[in-house]
Amino acid sequence: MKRELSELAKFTRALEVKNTASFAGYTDLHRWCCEHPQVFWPALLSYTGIPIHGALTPALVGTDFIDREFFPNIKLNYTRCLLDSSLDVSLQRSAVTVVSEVGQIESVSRAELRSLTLSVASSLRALGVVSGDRVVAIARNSIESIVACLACAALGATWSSVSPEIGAASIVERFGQLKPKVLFTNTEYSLNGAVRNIDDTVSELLMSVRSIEQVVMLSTRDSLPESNIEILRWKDVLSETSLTLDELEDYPFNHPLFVMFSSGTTGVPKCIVHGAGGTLLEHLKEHRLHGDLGKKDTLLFQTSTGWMMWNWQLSALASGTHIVLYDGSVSYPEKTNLLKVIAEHEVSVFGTSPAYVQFLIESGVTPKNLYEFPRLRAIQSTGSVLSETHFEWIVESFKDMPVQSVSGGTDMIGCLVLGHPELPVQPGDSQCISLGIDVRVKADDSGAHEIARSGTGELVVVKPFPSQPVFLWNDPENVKLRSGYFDKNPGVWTHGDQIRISKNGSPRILGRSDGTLNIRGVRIGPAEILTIVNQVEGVRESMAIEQVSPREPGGSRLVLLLVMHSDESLERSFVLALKKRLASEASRLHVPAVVAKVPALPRTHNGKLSEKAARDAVNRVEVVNLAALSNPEVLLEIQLQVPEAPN
Amino acid sequence: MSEEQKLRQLIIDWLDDNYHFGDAESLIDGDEERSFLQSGILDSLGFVSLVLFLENSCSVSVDRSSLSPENFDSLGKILRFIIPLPNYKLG
Repeated sequence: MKRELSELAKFTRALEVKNTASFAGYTDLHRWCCEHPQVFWPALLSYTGIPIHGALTPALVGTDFIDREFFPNIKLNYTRCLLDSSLDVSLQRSAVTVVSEVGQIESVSRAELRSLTLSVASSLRALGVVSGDRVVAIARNSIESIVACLACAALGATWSSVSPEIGAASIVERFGQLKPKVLFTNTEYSLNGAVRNIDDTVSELLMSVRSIEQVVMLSTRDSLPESNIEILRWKDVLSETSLTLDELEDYPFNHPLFVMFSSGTTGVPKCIVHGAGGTLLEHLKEHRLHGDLGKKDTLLFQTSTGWMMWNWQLSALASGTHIVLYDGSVSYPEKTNLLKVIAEHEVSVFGTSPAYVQFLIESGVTPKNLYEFPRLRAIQSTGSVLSETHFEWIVESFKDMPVQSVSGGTDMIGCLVLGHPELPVQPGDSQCISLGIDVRVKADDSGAHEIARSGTGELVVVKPFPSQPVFLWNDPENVKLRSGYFDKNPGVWTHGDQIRISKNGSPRILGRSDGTLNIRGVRIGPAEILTIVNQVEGVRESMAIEQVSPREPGGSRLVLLLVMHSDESLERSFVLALKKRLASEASRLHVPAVVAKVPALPRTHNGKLSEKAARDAVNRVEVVNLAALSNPEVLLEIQLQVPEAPN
Repeated sequence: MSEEQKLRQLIIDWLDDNYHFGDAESLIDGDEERSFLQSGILDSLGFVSLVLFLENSCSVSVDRSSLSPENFDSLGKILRFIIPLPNYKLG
């Protein structure tokens, strides 16, 4: 079925008319938008039609990445923007549907979602939650999680969530930094048919984070975890007297909305604060222009509440899109479980990861033989690099439809490379660079370190954009912000990815350029692993690296190198105990596939550990700049101890 | 040690290395027919990884249409399915 003119085409036409411009194609449009941020961003904000108040000008004050401010005169309320009626969407239209692994279905209309949200917002206000407070959640995918988040945003409080599978230590490490006032929590979750209780996790969090004054259970369970703090059931916060949308206050464009966490190679996870306006504007652009999502669409993106794609999917309500959440294992009780949901709920855009695609391939599943997917019109993939083989398999075995490889991250709560409703798909590539985001390549193989529009090298952004972090938590002088994104290449945003951009503007993400690990599509900071490992008796120091492993979901596996105090070889019982501790204190994703004892870790002459040299060694690729290492001989030992991954 | 015992140990070790970190034997609890799925020992994603491992370790090829709970949902079922496959050789 041929769709009508895309939103991107309509927006482009409106931009041409208003500015007496003519764009030869997307590359031309993209360049113009990057060169005219004071015109492009207000035009986009105005085009979306969301309820905002104040003047659209100036769109941007300052040109420096740190000291800039987008839309200083605009105010909005994120929740109102998502639940407003101005979209001309029927209040009876489905807003959110949640399907569990055992097939339980819960669904709310836009009217019901609005009513629930305003009711819970009233209760939160009565509990003393005010603008600027932090509200955190240990939440599985559920209607309640969505309502709690929207209620929190309605009051101008800042929301941060993790999924219940995460270990207590990791949750304390994250939430403890924020000094939250309220905790929403599930008390158990179901995975692969087994119900797992997280009372101990909740208790440990409450013991460690004393700022929490109120706990609200997201579950319907009758019994409550033991605590000195008053714990409310979900039904207790469904207030009979409710606010109205009109009563919600507007907040500045850059008012903190979400805190996301990103782990680096050292230290505790960074708390990245994203503003309401920047987040929503970026999401609206990605949904409506790049994804052509609207009120006729149903979007299912495979995500947990701890990943930015959960927040990203949530914002699709502002485009009238019906969102479907999946709770539990995608492969339980049947390996085709998720496919059934896509078919039965008439999903039109399915968001997934290379890990899931690889799982389907390895399982011998041919989706097109099982279901017709009549409404499915695009598949999006993110988390790690989608290979050409995956692209081809999707078209041949799933459905002949656009395969859109999108990539960005927690750092900017959106995407830098995306799909496009009209451009052709080149297997392995993303279709285009995100509109208005000036993505370039810092070519590291030219010797000149030039920043260019095409080539291969480090992904950088050369102009500020609305969805960059408004600040990092506990970083009043922006020290962490500078060191995280701007120290490596002063004056530009360094994202931490390697990219190739062709002459015609087609981008392809090649992988990480820093020490961050990507395991099964989930980004993990080595510090989260090493903090635990280095506490283990007998361990002198350690290094976590990623090894290419084509048959693993996500295409890589985690390798842990250990330098021990003693010369004795590693006992199996020691390795198993170490893995168990990582699974318990962090998560299963933090458990290495390979644990190897090595005599030393590679270091540069100034004593800095070189993860890149170790990574190249285990991947059997040439180690560039061997002369920079003080102990290059350990690379051979690392190769001897770490076998090649099976092909 | 018989072929069956060797393969059994290989599977237990794999479960320990990748999923249960020393607890696999106690989870199976002497019941070789205990359902992996129902007892949370393995999920469908895990089945795929286990099959890839067995293909590498036992020199066999598993037809993906055979990748079902009927053949892989317990230790006993895996042993009965894998050992008779053509070219089966451990190590």
